[in-house]
Amino acid sequence: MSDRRDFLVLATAASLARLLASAGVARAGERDVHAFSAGSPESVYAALGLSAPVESAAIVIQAPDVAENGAQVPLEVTVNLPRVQRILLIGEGNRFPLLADIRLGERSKPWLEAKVKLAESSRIRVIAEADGRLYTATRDVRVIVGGCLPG
Amino acid sequence: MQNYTIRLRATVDEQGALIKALLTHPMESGFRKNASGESAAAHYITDITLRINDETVLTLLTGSGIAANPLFGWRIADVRSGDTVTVVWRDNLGNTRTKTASAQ
Repeated sequence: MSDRRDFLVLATAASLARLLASAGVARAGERDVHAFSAGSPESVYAALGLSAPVESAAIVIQAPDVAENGAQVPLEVTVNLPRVQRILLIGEGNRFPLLADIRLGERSKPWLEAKVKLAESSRIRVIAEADGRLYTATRDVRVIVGGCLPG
Repeated sequence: MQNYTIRLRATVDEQGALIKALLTHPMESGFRKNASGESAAAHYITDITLRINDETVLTLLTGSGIAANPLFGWRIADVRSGDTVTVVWRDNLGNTRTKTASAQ
């Protein structure tokens, strides 16, 4: 009897886990390995289960128009929207485009500075989730020496 | 022996605090090759947590596309002078470092 009950408990737990995984539910702060190893911006979105974001001028990306060194490109991102919960940084020309997936607590302001690598002249895309909706903006950066080349 | 240091500064202003963190880390993508054609093994920070007085206020999941010796700036509301600011990072090889500073 107890074997059967254990089996049922296990089976239920397994199907629940599958259900959660298929629904794209991830615990906050859990790293999505597939998203970081995705080889194109589209596959990053697919791995994260993101719906199409809306272009928004509320996201301000500051970066040099021309970066001498693609290995150290300074970025400053400001999101002028209320209740920003998440910011994604994407280097569209990189082998692994997802640079960072940032979860903001209530006290965290939607602003950040970071230095990133860009493999080539390309677009930087920022996606922000605010009040449950997705917004996006891009900025082109010309790179003189790529940041991911064999050195 | 790898040198890992964290420089952390939290400056209080009217809006809260401006926090700057400079992490010493190679952030090696695993793609770079040396002169003899050998790849350097992938070695990069995978996540960073920022805490104010033991409350987690920010979590960053990072890939190898973050620059070597990464520099970050964040702004957090309601931080007072003397509050404890903590940065913790973890990398793909299981290393971890923590640094605590007092907001000024």
